[in-house]
Amino acid sequence: MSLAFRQLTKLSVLCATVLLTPALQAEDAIHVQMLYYDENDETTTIVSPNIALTLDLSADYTLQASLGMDALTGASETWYDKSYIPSSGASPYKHTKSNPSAYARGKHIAQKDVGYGLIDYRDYRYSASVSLTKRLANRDELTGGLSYNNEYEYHIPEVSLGYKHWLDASKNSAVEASAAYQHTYVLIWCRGNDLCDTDSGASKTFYQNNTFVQLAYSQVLDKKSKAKLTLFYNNENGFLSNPYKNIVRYYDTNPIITNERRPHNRQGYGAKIDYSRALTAKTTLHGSYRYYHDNWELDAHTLSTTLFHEYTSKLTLQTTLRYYTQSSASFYSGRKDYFTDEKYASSDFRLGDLKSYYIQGGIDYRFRKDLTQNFYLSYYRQDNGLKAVSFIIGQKYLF
Amino acid sequence: MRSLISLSLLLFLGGCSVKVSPWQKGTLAKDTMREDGGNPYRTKFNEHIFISKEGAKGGGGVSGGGCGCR
Repeated sequence: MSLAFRQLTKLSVLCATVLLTPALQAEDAIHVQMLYYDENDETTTIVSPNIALTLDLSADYTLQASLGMDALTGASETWYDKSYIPSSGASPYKHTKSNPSAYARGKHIAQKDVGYGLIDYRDYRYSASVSLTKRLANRDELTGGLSYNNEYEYHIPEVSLGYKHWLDASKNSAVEASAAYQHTYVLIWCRGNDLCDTDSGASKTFYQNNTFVQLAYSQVLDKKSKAKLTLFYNNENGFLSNPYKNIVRYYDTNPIITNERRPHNRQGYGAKIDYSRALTAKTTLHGSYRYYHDNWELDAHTLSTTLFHEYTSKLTLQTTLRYYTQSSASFYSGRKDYFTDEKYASSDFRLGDLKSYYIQGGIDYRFRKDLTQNFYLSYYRQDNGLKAVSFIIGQKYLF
Repeated sequence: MRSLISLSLLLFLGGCSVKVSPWQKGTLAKDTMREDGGNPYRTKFNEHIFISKEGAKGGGGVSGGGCGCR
């Protein structure tokens, strides 16, 4: 074999690798997407428009940026003092003297005034993120990212870093390590709030320092299938209580409605296995299982599967099924006559025993080579009565 | 849990011997073989719903932004 032929062969392999490896697909794109989410019983409704840009600056650099907004309206379930409900119907999360946080938190009340139900709220959440991926000489990938989330009581700046290393020249296997750090500001409004010794309506800032670490190993199994194993670790420190959620203490003797209180440290870890296989030339199956455990003694299992079917060259159908189950955190109780002087206590249903079921169906339709429209409709149900319908509609434009 | 991890490692170690050449990856390179099916927002929005209504999180990427979910 001549030297020129060997060099040509190497060049062909390199070109094929660049063209066929998903991570390296050159695809400058703009996504414009919107989520609409609506729960039963007039609880949460979310409208969330987002726009994202993916831009290959060169063969070695890819820039990704996104902007998003969530408009939240509805009501949040919690314990409250019936005698303090604002007659105007305005949100108790507005923090003015004329309409203080309406729960009389930290004050003893009569048993007849202990209520559980929906408290109105309205909020806007804004998010922005940017990341830059650098491909090294050996085609390993280094990605750095920044993001910022802002809502009324939460400000969440985040920095992240990831490194992907290919283990073989044909890119059949890779390891990936990534980490993110958040320094979260939580504004607690003090009026009637037992966390602050003031009646001024002023706020107090609490903090969270959160670290998320993930290690992943991915492997091509054959020409039609691949798998991925992910190990993850979450370490959250600081004010982890939910400022919107109350509990009832001493209900049987001298009831008091006060803030829930969670431990100041949460360490969660788990593993996830993903498997993808092309069943036919037009049908692809994805399956995953995730195990999660944390030091609040919450265990969770998640099973999920997605089926894609390319019905025509332009139309792709997809269906997702998901099943989730968790055990309760050690300090959770949904009962009003349960808590007395426990150090940690929460009645937030998200920390309780629950099962959830999720089904999604949708289409991607390619109008033109550079323009794809998508629509996905979903139904979510928990065994505690929560039900939600949502849809995602959007476009992907290649340029 | 340990047996699950061991089984997973065995599965992956078994796969290490497989050699698929770059020109044989036409199927693997399709959008539908990606975890997000070619639309990262489908996964992102779904995860946002799950994280705000359930107690567990992780395994889908470290960067999520977080929220003060009611």
